[in-house]
Amino acid sequence: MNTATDLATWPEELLALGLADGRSGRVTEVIAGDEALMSDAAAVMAELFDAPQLSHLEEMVQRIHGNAEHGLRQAMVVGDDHTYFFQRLRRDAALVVVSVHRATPNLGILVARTRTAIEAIEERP
Amino acid sequence: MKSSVPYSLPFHQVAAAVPPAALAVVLEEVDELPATSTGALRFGERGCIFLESGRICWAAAGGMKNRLTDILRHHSDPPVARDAMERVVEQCASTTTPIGEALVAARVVTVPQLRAAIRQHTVEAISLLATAGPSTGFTPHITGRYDARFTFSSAEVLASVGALRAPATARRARRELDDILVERVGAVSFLRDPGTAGAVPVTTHDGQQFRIRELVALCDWAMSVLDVSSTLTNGLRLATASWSSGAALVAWRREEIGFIAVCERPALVRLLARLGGAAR
Repeated sequence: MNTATDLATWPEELLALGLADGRSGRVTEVIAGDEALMSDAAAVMAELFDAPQLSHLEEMVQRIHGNAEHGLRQAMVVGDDHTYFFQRLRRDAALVVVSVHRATPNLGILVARTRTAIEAIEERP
Repeated sequence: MKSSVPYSLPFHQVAAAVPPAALAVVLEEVDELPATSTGALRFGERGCIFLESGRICWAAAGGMKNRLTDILRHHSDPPVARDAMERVVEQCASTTTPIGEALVAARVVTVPQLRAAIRQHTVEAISLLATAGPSTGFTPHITGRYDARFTFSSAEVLASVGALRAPATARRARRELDDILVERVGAVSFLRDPGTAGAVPVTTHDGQQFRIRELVALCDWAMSVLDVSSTLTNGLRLATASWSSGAALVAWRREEIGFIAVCERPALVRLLARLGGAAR
């Protein structure tokens, strides 16, 4: 199945989309776009999701929200040239959807469009 | 506004030189006490940290007699008259009225001046106490008498010590947070310690009451995520992390100052809009 062609809308600013292993940072599947961008993003993503300090942060979030079940779900890095979006799959938290976008002035629209793309991946069998 | 009256003793310089890790040990002791604690965390003959309902209201260390007067005179323009202060202090001794509140009532100082002076005195005293290790015990008191306006969280104290190291930078960080932050957001600004490369908090914005461990973890994570993310993209503007509970963190940097904000999803959207607009 080619998810890229199945997506209802392929956001204009989306440069790469794929799946990576959240612990190792290895790319498991490039769904569409620039493979090199995906690979760089996946390596950084592993550090974001697996940082030694993350357990302290999760404790804090649990204290504030009173719910011990929630782990880190999304991360985003915004730069002048690209925006990177990372989201753990609900059905397998070890897998992270990685997407790379051209810079956009409206982060809200970018996030909304990216969620649409990720929903399509979540719904894959 | 600061007057031209210089400090008579350089306690602020001594406090700024105390390693943040040593200070964090003492402030974590405060965090570990029950939130209702009122009393004195003792450091033998060296001094005490006084708590009111879990918040720090005063600290005293050996050699700091008359330091509050010194600070108040330094921070007021025109300088607070020493004899006016002494009259109020004498009246307080006979009526057991808290000195700070009496100084405000007598219009010798304003509330913001007094709060800033009490915080600085407290910060300097705790820094001195921290140089010689942990406390020797906690003695509860039965009744509280401090005005809540003049009490501080442990996080505020830690950041205030950081601010003593770089006062101008701390003011810049405070202005950034005042401009950017929306309601229901807690935030911290920090600098990188040139000696240890660790984060030194310099301001807190109290949307959340952070404990010291959390404050340190937040700053360390933000510093790490900004370092890692800057390898990924030119002109890094910000990095975020979100939990499925709805909690989110946002890290960004302005020159040498790092920032980390904690919020929930609705506030995150508004914060991102502001940061997007303010990106430099």
